[in-house]
Amino acid sequence: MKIDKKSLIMAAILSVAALSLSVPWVSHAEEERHEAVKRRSGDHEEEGERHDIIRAQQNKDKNRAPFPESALYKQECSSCHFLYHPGLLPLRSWEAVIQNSDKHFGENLSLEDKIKDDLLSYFYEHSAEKTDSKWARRILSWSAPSVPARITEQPFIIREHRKIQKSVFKRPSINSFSNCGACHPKGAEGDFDEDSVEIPAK
Amino acid sequence: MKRRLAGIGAAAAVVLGGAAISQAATVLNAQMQEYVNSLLTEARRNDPGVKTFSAGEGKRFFNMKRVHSAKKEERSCSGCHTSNPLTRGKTPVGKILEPISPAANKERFTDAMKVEKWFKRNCHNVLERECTAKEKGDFIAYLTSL
Repeated sequence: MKIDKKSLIMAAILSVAALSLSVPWVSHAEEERHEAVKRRSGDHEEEGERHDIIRAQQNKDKNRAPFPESALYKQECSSCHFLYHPGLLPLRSWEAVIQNSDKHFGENLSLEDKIKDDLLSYFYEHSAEKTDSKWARRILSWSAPSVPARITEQPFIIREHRKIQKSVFKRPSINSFSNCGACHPKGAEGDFDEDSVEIPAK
Repeated sequence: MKRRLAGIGAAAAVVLGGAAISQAATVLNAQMQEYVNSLLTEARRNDPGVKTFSAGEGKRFFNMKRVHSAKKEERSCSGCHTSNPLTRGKTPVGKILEPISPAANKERFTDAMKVEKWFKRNCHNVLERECTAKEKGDFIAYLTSL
């Protein structure tokens, strides 16, 4: 079969014309279909968005764990230092803290046996193992199987602060790396989320 | 005559001043009074020469510095509570302490068990031993006199 140039050109022109006609038609139909779907499932889509927001909030919440209130723990421990969330240490560490309370970093806490027992019961309920947050889980997995004596010597805590210069911790209003509340204003409420960090300038 | 008047004025000022101080001093509640009485009984048993507690002795004790045998650092009550008990203090790790004088913080010296507890911990912290009944009584006398 012999095809001459003219009919080839004609065919090309016709197909281009057909395409240019069909494209707007296709896209219009698509739009209409989308609109129809939107109209039908409008409520669902909004709900989907709401779920996304809630999910994001929940992910953040995982860096938060409400502080388990205890008047005894507050009185015995946070009269002298920052009110550390009990989820910041594994149970085995808290047991060691109580066992060595007569030489607590060189200080004798003069804890009576009854108070030691009550504090231990509190730690059984609220140590890192019992705390539902991302930070508590990481504290546990990163420190196993050692028995960290200090919250601030745990690998996960050190890693999380690796980008902060040592001199920052020496600022008068911060004083030391163990003064969590200086930069984590909601730390005493168990909120260590990055968004809530405020590093004082002095 | 002028001199005599001035003398009377000065005497009146002393009396008024005295009244003002006794008014400013804290009145202990029943359980604290009982606690102080038991301290006095014990202090007299240890030393029959003890008549009463002394705010002046308490002030000296409050500001007395001592070097901790293990930590090799100077320690005192005033080291954390500052030499002005009416103001806020700070622990070595930076925790703020509310004023220790009841004149500035009315919660202080109201709970005998709590007072005894903190004597136990902080006497060990500063003196590496328990405080004597005389030391505790003088300490309370000083801080409630402000």
